[in-house]
Amino acid sequence: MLKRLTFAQVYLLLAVLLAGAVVASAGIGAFTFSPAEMLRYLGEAAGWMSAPASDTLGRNVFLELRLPRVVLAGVTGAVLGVSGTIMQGLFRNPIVEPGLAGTSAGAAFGAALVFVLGEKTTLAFTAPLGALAVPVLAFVGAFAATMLVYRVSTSFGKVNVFTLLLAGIAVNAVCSAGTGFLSYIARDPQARNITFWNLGTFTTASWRGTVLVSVAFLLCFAWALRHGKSLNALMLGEDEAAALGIDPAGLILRLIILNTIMVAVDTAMVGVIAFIGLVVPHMLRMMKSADYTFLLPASALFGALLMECIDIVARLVISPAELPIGIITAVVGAPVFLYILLRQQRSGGAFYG
Amino acid sequence: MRRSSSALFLVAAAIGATACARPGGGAGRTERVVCVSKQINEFMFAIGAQDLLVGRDLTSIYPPAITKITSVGYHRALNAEGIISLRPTVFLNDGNYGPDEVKTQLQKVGIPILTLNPGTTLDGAEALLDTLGTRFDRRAAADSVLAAWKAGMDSIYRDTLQWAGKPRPRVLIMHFGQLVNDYLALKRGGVADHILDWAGGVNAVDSVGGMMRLTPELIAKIAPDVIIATDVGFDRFGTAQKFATMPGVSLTPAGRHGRIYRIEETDVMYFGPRTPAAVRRMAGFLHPSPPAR
Repeated sequence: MLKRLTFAQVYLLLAVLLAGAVVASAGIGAFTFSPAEMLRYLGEAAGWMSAPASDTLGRNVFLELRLPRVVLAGVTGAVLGVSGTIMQGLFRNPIVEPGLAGTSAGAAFGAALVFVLGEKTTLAFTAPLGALAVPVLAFVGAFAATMLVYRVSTSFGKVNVFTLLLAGIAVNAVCSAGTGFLSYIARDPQARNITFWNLGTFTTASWRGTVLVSVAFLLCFAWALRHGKSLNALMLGEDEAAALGIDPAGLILRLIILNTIMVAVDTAMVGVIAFIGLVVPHMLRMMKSADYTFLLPASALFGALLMECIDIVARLVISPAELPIGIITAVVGAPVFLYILLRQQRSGGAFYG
Repeated sequence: MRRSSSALFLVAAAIGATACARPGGGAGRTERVVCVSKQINEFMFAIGAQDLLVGRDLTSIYPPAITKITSVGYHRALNAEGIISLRPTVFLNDGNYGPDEVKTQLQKVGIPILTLNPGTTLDGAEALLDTLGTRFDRRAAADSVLAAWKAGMDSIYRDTLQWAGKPRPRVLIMHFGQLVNDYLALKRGGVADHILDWAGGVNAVDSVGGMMRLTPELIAKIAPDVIIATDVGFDRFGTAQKFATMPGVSLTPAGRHGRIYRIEETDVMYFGPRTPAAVRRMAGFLHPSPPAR
């Protein structure tokens, strides 16, 4: 049904749905806020209304805990969606997501280093970085892993996609082994930090972290938007793209860098969240178009929409406790994805239609 | 498994300005407590302050009545909003909770955080119960629980004399086991080790501190006379006979003679009013026909 709409109309539809999901996500949870309450709290925070002394608890929960969380969830969804789109475009392969090219595993290894060796140990090598230790080391790990994959799979200035996938699997194995070893030597609480971080969570959202992730995303996203046409050309193959006046090696390197920054900073904040990066671009392709100038902005909107919905579920299922996000992305995402795949196959539709 | 040598004394750290401002008892009628420590939760029940509890963590399951209280999730994977939605007047913990951000999030909305660290000593645990009695206005109940507890321990100390000069069985305490046949041994120096000692046994693992991962070969090498398994791990097999078929265990004297017993994890993880009973149960396992006095 989306096929009949123009790109602009699809953006508008997704934006409206996203706005609705954001309002719902901001209102629903262990605390419930009516739209009127939310507006009043926002007005008070902005200084448009005088703050009444009553119900400071609700106001603080909304402004200090709920809002940063809702924003962080949305931005995370957008990061993962855009990242999935970029990587599937780069590798011209529909199974690629940040998890496959070593990016997530490298980030996880970097963060695990901080969890196990950085806290309260004699090493304390992360002390100068302070609260930024996890994002910085996650980026270093993710970048090193992704670059290693990239270097191994590059020869004569060309990326061999199959070598790249195989190298990704090998680097993933090394990084997971490193993380596994760290959790083995870790003390009990540290090991559990790694475990829960590997499932993803938004409970630790704070304004500082949310702003950091948002800024990283907006910069990288703005940069990525300029590469939509290049990605379209790359779909034809590297030689063909070169014939169209694009430098494939340079394009791939730039995209890997911006993708790594975005994913590493986000992963450092919320942990590893699987499946969104894989599902979002696919669903958009099947529902609308494989044009990357469309996919990049649409996957940001759709990823954010999906993540807000998943976060609502995470908060409601066993309220007032909550489930790790990664569990729900798999439980909700996988069946939906399988259903779409089946329907697509029965109708005989083209995969990249 | 924190071992601070100075944990003889209870360290009561009241974090957050409001925590200090709140009076200890008095107007305690409207106190609403969310507590994420299984030991403190058990003590709250012991001193009759359970009606103040409005939230507990997932692992606080003793006494059984506590499961009726709302769970705020696993104590290392809490979410601040869930805790705050129970509108607690104090967030009680033993310092072992996470993620770290929960602390700042609770402080932001002005929920007092009270961290009570009982350490791993008997004195520390007794002081913890004493502090709770004062803090939650259950002075008399706390005193009577403490008196019974101390009397129980005195009787345990007297009974330890009967082990003097007698051979002490070498005991391996096997804990947990998330995966099949994946167990941890409790090393020397902890709560379980003290209980073993009072019950007339000796820890078959001779290194100190925390836990050690076991392998079948290691179990066979340790060759304990008796194996004590905590509830989760033991219940996976159901009976001592089945437990004894585990690789490694079957090669030990304990496995050959069927001397494998089950104990509640909470009995050996921290000291509490139940400790004297736990020691007696343990002594019953280690010395099936106790020597005459």
